[in-house]
Amino acid sequence: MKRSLYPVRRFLNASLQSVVSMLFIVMTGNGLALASDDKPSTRDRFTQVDREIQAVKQEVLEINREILLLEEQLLYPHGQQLVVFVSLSNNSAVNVNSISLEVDGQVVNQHVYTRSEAASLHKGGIHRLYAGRLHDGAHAVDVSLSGMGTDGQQFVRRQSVKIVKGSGRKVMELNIATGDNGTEPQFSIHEW
Amino acid sequence: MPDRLPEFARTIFRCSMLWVLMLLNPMALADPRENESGRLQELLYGEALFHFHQQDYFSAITRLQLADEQGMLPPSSTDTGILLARLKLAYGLDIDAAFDFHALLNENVPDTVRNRAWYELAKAFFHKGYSEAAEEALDHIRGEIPQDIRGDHQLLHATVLLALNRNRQAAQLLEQWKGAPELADYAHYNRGIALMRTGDYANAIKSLERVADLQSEEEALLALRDKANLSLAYVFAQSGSLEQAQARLEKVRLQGPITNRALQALGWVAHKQGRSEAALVPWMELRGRSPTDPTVLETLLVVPSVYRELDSLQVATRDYEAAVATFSDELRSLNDSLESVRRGSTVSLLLQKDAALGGSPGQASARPETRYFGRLLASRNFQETRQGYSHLQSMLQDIDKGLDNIDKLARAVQPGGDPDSRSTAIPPSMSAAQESSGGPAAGEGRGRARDKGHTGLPADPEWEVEWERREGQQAEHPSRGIPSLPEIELPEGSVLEGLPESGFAGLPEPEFTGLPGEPEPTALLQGPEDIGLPGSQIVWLPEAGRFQMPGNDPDYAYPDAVAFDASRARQADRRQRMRLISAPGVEAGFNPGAEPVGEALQELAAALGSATDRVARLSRAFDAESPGVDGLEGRIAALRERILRLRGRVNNAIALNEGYTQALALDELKHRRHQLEGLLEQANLELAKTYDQASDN
Repeated sequence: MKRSLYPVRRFLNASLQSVVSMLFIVMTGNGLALASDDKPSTRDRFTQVDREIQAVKQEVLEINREILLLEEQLLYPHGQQLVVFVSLSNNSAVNVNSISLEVDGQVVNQHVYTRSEAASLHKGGIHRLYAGRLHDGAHAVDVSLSGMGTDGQQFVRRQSVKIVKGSGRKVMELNIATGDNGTEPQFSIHEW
Repeated sequence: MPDRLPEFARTIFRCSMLWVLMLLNPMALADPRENESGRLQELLYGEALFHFHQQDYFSAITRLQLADEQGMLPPSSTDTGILLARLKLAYGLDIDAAFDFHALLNENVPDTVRNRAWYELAKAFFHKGYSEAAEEALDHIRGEIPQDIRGDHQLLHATVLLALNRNRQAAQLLEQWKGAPELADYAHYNRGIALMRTGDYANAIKSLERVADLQSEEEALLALRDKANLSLAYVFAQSGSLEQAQARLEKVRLQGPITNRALQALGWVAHKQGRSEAALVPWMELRGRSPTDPTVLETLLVVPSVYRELDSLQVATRDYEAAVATFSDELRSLNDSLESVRRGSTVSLLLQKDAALGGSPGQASARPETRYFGRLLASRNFQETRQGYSHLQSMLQDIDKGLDNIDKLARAVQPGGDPDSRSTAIPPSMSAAQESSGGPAAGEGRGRARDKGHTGLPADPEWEVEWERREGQQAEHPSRGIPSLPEIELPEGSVLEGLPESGFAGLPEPEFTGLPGEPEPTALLQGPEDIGLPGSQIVWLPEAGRFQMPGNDPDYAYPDAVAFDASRARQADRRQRMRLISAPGVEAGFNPGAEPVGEALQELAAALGSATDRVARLSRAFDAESPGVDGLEGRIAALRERILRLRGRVNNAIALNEGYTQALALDELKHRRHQLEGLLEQANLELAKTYDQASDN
């Protein structure tokens, strides 16, 4: 299942010398090379704490990845998966407040955006609004979006699309943009 | 946070460049699958960016790694690797990131991308105090440096050189400032310090004077101005320009991290000018301050020595007796504290979460066992340590919860398993997005916000100011110069004799460089003959006159958060950004290492809590109709094993954290005890001499 993320190992040998040099600096440069009867210095203790915490972080990352994998495989396996992303077009000054997503008439997710999430969208971030299981065949997807337009007015937009789920994963993107008139927010739904 | 954005965005969208080009390629356009694939990859990168912009590096890394493992990103992409390494760096995994950079940053990587990565790594190392490693990373920087980090790279490099005591190189590096005007004060100040260390006082004065009169309401800059004035005073005093030294010292604020040092130095300048009675004014002011400050303790010995010069033997005797009593009391109290730290009880107190975040200011330091830890408690390093400790503790609880949830999941997947652990659908109200976000829900409420409340503040206003400075609260501290000192009347019948030149008569030692406090300051004294004062009365003049920064603060300065110089980006850079960045206004790099360890651990604890909650949801959502997953039971068992192992690691990290805190506390106390023992011995000696002198009279 797992494949190498990037060819670190392959490069590792080639740059082993510099890697070792770096580690030498990080470790011995700060006194980790202790005589066996010496007590570690305060600085050494800091280095130990730092390294241990990095190890804990690494471990939590891996545990979380394993849980995510399990989650995907158990709850919405690849072939039965519907994933919906939300993106904001460049230069769009629309502020998104909330999005409601319905599939076949059932609300599957309602998301209220925090300030930092909305800011992140403006900076090019793309939000995974939903990931769930969807059987093959035709489905109705309804999206309701509320927010504040460039004119400072609250708005609500709704849009419905019919999609056909094939054998693979279905990925949809809700792209929010400022309309042609510069103020009216619009959104479009794309399938990828 | 905004200063971190462009950096990340640049790399991310550099990764997407290939796909952008591919999309522009008619052949690619002809194949909708290529188009779909390209956009999907952009969505996945964008998802990582979504988390990154909220400083949720954990989720950003997890999502990107997962996408890569599932084959949804270009295979063997160096760009992906660099991006991930930089995310790891932002998350605090600097050693891992260093390995990756060494493996990936070869000649095929454009200069600007490569140099930016090395710069970020250097900065992360520097923030952790790994100066040699930081310099090694900086040595990898060759060719064009991105314009927006050019200034900070220059400042960082110079600061690293200062930390390594390579002062001449540091001064040369800062001769022509290339960065943003906001950082110029730090550059001039550091150049002044570097020149001062090399003995080039004339040029040091020029550099320091550019900072010493700056106007600002920002606490960090006001503290920098104070340091510049103190350093200038030292340089002027070294050059014999005592009036200028006095003028500079009077510009140091009355409430600030180095106020006590400035008061002490002001007294010495006056003493050096032959105005001993005037010297008493700042020293008397200093003497009334908290005896937990070594500067104050030193003054307890200095004041009676002046009275003795003034032939006020009765007053001198009384003050020496008071000094002996104070030093004895302090030594006793210090030994109690030492014992308490060795037993571990004080360490627990120092690390208490409520002491750090809850109660009233000064609480921890006001307790007898912790009264010497004001500066330690206020230090950024210690704050991070204490926060980290608290988050590690909460992680333990999350781990236990996770183990419980794993057990439920294990029961659920077993044939005929616990029906209570099963349900058939995800409740519609549950946010699937958060379920799949790869980590804790992002947003203001998810615990990323820095804790603003603190207790454990030292009662001493100096520490409070220092604390606020560290916390970046930018509290207003009106700049009040030290007022002109009134002349005092001499005791009747006393004759003011001129003091002979002394090697230690108010001036810093020639070898003194303004460096942070040496480990054993009293050991630096040359001997009684070097500090002799008139009439063959040997007056022990302790550390006073050393215009040094208090505690272990370095004399050089590097801002906690560096504003990237986006405004100076060249047109070429801008053009490149246009291709690499999807959204405007995201033109800043991230600030590796600037994120305090405590906050990173807080994020980690939240992530772990989220992960264990996800396992609970898994067990609830799992049903018998779920598609079969090969080796599911084995994987769950392995997961349980990993979480168990993690528990051990977290326990180990907690123990190491306690050990480190104990070592910090012991260092502080031993340093103080050594100093106090010296002071007490000297006070007894001087008292005996005063008795002798009185009986002779």
